[in-house]
Amino acid sequence: MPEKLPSISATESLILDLLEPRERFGLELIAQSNGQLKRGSVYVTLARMEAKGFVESRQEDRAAGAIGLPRRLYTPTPYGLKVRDAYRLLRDALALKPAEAR
Amino acid sequence: MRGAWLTAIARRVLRDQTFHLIAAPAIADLQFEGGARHYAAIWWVIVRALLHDMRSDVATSFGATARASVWPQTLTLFALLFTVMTFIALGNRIRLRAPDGTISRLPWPPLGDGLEPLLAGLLVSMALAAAGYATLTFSFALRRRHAPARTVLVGTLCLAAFVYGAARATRPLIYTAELYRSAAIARSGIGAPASRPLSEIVGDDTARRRTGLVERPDMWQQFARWREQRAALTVLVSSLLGATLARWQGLGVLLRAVAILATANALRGAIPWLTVLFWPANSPRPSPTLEQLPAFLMLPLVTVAFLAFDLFATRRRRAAA
Repeated sequence: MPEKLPSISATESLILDLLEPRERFGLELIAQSNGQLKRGSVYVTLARMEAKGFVESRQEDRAAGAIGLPRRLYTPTPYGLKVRDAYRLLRDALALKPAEAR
Repeated sequence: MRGAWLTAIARRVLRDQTFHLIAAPAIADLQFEGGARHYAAIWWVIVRALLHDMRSDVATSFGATARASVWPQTLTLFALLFTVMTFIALGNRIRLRAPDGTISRLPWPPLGDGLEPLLAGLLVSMALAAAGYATLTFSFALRRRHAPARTVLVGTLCLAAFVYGAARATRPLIYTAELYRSAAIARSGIGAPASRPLSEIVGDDTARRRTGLVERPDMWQQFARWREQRAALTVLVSSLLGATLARWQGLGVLLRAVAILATANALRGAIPWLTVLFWPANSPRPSPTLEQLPAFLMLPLVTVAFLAFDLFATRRRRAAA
């Protein structure tokens, strides 16, 4: 049976772009996305990407006695970047060239 | 601390993994730097996380693993109940109450053209009833496989919604069966020959007026609604019973099942005495639902009592250890 191909959405691709230079928090991603990422959906998308193996996360290092919940930092995985690049190539290859347009 | 109560709510309603991966990072960011907008967004995050969990619950209840393990048992019980109940109902439904109050046992052939609608209505009723009781196996098997209680709840709610929808959708079928059944009663009442087709009597105003179904269509509608609600409630009650019984092992399951059913039945016997207090003789009854609900509630109440007692006993044993 053929193995199911991974899929990546435009939002997931954008998140991988933003995470590529360095690991970031959820709020940083929202701030860096120029309004393309929403506060209500970014955490759900990140959890889905983690389940797909596109990103990894870890809790921030905190001083002893710090109160509140620890924030979560996200990093892209090599697999996530590979899927993003592959889909980018596919999109470019399938994009309609001016000569092909009727 | 900002967001403490949001954390408490999210912890309560979400699975551990969902809380840590979706809700906790959002709340942590709120605690770090957040305003009113972030608060509103976190509610949306929690709602979406809850939907994510519910989707997992539905997948656990109806997914490939459940289809291979839980559903064969459930469908076996369904098939068994459906067969037994259909045979019992075939014997009962054929006894028709004549207008003079006597019970007449009509053989099948004189029903003639009424046979098909009667059989169709009966089979649908029995399938819905059997589906309700078969949910017992569904919740029992899921709990035995260590599915969380909320997974069983979500799966049961899906089944209850399905059964209610099916009962509601087949109301015209049941109505037709009842109409033909009433026509069969009326046929003997007006002295019409047995060769006269029931469909003619159904269309005949004189015969229609003699049947309770046509005289009081509002009452029939009320009973139909209660029957549909009862079908869905039976799913919930059977699931509760199944999940409760899954707490015990071996012979304990059978003993508890017998004890629960016997206690509920004994208490149900006391209902007519209690009913007199609420609705004295000859007083108008509010609705079939309100009239029959107390008797129906006996089984879930007894099940909850057994469950509460077992939880209390387990806690005491653990404390003593």
